Amino acid sequence: MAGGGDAAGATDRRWGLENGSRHRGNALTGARILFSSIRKVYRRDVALSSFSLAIEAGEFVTLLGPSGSGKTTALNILAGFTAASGGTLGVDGKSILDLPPEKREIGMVFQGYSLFPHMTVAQNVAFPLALRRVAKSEIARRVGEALEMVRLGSFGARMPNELSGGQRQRVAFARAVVFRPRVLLMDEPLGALDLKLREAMQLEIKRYHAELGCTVIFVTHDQGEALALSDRIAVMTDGEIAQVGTPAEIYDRPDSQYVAEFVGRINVFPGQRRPGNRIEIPDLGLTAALPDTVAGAAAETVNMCVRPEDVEIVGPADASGMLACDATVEEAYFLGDTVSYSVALAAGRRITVEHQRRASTPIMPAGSRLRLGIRMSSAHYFPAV
Amino acid sequence: MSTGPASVSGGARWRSWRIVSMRSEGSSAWLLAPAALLLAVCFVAPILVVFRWSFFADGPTLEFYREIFGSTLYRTILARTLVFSLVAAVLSVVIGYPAAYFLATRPVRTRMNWLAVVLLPLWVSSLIRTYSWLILLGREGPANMALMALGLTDQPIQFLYGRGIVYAAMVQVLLPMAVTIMYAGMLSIEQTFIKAARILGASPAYAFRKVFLPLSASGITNALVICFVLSLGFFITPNLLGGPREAMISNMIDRAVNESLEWNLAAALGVVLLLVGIAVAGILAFAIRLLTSPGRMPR
Repeated sequence: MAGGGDAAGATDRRWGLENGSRHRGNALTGARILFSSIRKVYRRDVALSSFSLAIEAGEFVTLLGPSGSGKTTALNILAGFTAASGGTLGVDGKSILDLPPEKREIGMVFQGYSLFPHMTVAQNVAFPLALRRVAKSEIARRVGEALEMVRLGSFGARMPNELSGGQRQRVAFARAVVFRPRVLLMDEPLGALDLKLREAMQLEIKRYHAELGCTVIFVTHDQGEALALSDRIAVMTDGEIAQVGTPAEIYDRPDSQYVAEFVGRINVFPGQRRPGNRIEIPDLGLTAALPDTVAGAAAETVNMCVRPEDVEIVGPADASGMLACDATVEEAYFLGDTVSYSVALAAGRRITVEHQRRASTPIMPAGSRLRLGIRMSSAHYFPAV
Repeated sequence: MSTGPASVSGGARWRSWRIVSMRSEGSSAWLLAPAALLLAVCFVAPILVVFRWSFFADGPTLEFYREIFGSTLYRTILARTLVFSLVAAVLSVVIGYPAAYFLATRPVRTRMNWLAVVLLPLWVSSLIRTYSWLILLGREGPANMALMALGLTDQPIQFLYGRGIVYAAMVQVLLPMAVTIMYAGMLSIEQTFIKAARILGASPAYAFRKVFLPLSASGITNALVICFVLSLGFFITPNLLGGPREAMISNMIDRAVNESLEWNLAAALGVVLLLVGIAVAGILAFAIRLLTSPGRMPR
């Protein structure tokens, strides 16, 4: 590779490698990434329509969406595997759209890990360093360091097929960051792992991010993963960003019914707008005041959406200030720390109620009658589409 | 949900699965029996007979081997057979590799159509294909007619009876084999390996050299060895197209069996061919592994 030596030198200087010390904390800073109106059009369909997103240096941003929502397309355009049909893409203010993948200095962890099966773990991790003409002794040291970071220090001589899924995942991670890229892409990296391992790896990824300080773009369809890991989440649908925000913003203040339903679960009560900015909800048999922020035309259909954990089980007396309703338990799903009840409202609609519990909390059997209360402040209103 | 019952049934399922797999481990050997029987009767036994004939006339003897290695004719033909086979196998692999790469990197939908095109020649027997060369390239065949009509030559060109036409015809027969064998090997190479190499800093050429090529090496070896071994046995092609001066060892075996009736000599020639074939195939496999290895990298 022409100029490989220079690139390696520049990389080393950037990270102050001369001192040979470990780089912990935020000594390594990530790059800013700016997608502006990036489009990708295939012959028949639009994979990405005007995708704009500004990502801060060192930020952990998740692209969350179902398959076909454009999240992987955005990632592939950033990596250089897919050419954009339009728009600009800058890393630290410099456009990278004309660079081939190998000139972008971006780390990437693939869904199936993509470890080279004919190379040992150490050879896999050394691959990007050998390409950058790093000196032999330096390669050995940095490979050791990277494997140490993912707690696989003694696995260098193994072949990838001798490792478990979680170990392969960690080798893939070590290989992606060993050349100290300022941007790291992760494409559903935990998809192939079982639940326990996935949770453990989430913690690991948080730790790596804190240690390396690089900008991370993480792609997943798993909303739990997105909520647990991200500084910010971009929820995607049909090639567009539906909402960008911190996990708490996305979960507590969804912009649209789509986001509310995709991230977490939510009960939907169809309602009708009435004069005086009120909403009539037939399922609850009542009319409530709409918040001023919910603008719209008279008689329009508005959905009231409430998360299952925001539907409270109340006594007959203490539902003051709440929207209250009688219901019958149809089924109880025991989840350990919570019980998820499927209940039928008096008007017939079936909703989900999630009830926090302790060891002493009894579980209400099917057929139990109970009274539900919903705080006005925990309801979300979206115009029906 | 109900974690208790689920884990119990899961455990039971796991146990029963293990019992099934253990049982099948020991008792599935019978699946091999038909093939093993066929090979024993139709392959191993005849080879043993051939070995015996090559070493026994009236008593144990090495005279047939002495005859082969003492004769310039046989040594020349043996060497020629090896060179022909090796060159034909290498040409088939070199020409077939890009085609196999093309096939293996097509989307699944169109892959099968392309594969059908590659396999089409196999529907026609190689005998007919060889004869068609004779017709096509003969003194008054369409090729010469066309060239003369175009005024590119005023005399028919001697295409037949030479080394070139033998190679062309051999490669033509071997190519579909070489392509499909290498294609099958390449299918197991994930396309993301190349992407991974690229994003890690490799140029397309470097990614191919260090990742794709080594991973396709076993396919290359298989194709090379199979084409080589098949070539060793070619005898219609050199006979019809090459003429007597390009005879291969199979033609000599044919003559010893059918014309001079020296069956012991034929057997000895067969044994030499077999052993040389195995040796060269082994060397080829080793050489390919050496040539395509990703090179020394730090452990």
